[in-house]
Amino acid sequence: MSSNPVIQFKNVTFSYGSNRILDNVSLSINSGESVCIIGPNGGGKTTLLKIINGLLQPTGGTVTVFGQSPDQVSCRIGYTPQYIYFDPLFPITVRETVLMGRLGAKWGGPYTSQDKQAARESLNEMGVIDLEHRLFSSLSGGQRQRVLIARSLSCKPDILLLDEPTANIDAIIAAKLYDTLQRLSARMSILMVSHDISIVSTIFQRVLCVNHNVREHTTEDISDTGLAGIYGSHIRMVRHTPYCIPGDKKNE
Amino acid sequence: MSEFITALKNPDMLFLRYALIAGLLASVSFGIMGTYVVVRRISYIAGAISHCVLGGIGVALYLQHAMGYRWCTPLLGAFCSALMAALIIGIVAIKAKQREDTVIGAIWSTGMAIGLLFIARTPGYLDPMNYLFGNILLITKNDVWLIAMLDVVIVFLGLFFYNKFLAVCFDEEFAKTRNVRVEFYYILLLCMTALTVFLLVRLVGIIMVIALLTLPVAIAGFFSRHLWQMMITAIAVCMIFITLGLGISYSKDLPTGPTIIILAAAVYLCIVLASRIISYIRSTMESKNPADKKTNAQNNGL
Repeated sequence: MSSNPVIQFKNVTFSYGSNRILDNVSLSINSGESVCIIGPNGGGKTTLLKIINGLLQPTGGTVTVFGQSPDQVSCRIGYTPQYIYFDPLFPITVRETVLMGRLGAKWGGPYTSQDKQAARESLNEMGVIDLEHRLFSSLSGGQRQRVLIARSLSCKPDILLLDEPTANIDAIIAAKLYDTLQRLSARMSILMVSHDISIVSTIFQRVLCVNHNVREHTTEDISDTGLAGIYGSHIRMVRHTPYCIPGDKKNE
Repeated sequence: MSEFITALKNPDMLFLRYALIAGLLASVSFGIMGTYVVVRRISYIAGAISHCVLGGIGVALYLQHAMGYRWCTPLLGAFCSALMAALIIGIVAIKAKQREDTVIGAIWSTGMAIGLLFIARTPGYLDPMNYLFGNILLITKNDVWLIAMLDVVIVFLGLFFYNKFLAVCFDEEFAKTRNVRVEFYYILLLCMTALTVFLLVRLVGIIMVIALLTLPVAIAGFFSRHLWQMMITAIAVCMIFITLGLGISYSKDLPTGPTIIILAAAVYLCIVLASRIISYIRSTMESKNPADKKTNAQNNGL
């Protein structure tokens, strides 16, 4: 891992009206580094991700990604939201959804064969290539989440931002997703918002605890007492062990 | 219907041919823009734009008849007011989202009120009913050319920006992260909707615009897996409704616009009922044979 910073926050503040979400946040994330973001609801985790990908503009301070403003390098950032609001009657297939990740600054026209190839590769990477022609609305929660991550990967990003990707999926699917993330972390920086503390040491080098401001920890620092300080109340740590399906050698 | 076909062949009844050609040509724009309007869920905006058109028509009639500006035709007034309404709604939606519905309501009713006031002050007798309910049989050769030209614009923009519009309609936030200028495409979509509404007002009138813009698309939705498929099906369905509606209204001496709308609504209702019955039969059969349900779930990767 190089120590070349890809994301830098300097005294960043963000407010919705009079409600201050992030207060004087400074942080730096290096190239190839994978970071887990934890913290209580309303603490500013999603806001932090949205500032990094240029969806929100900070009300104070400066943010640079690859040394430029986030909207100038959005093509190098993949983003998967926690959920998307979509019309269940919307006629769109998985393939078309993933191809959206290939949209760029060009004005119009159809997708190129390179775009289609990249979409297939990312579907393959997430293990959902067999769902390519299915309607997006017909997928289960876990399948949808994997398709949305495939959509973020189709632009071949250098940074992958994931907002609670395991919030609506069961432990087995989550375990498979973590396997994939571990593989991806070898070739890109990953920032993932999660409340699942049990996995942080396996994938991530650092933990950012976000509650209006940011405190940095190594993955070994995370303890019951530390979490209680971050979340403002006692937190029960639960270690998940995925249930093994008999005959499933990978999970056994 | 045989009377209608005979009348179409009659060179003395050119107005009927123009009506049919205009209807078929306009179906292309209705199918494309109707699809975007339905999936983006902005049919209420299309409603506001269509009602605002009366304001433009009223002002144009007043300027033409009372002030002597001969060039200021109702068509020009309708065109300008439709575009203006689209721009105002679009800008308000982007800049102050919480006030969008209020502004739409205001434009909807204020546009109509302005139109009726100016029509009342225009010298001579003018019946607003013609504008409110339209009359496809009053379509002229020039109107046919105008509709064809607007078709070209809508088809070109609708297809060229297809992927961008799809992204903006499906997941606006993600589109922003891909550097898509969401606000620009949203306003462009509203302006194209305004152009289509302007066409529709000539055919079926202000009141019934929303029905013809949405019903063929709603029917197409039952048979489509892709947005482009929905557009093509909606165009075909719209063409069928306009042709049948014209034929029935001519044969039975009924007003054309309402006949087309009633026909579309009846077919939509039948399809909704049929789909409910089919899904009920399927679920009953699956509950009788759980093995089938399990196999289906496995096939679906659940």
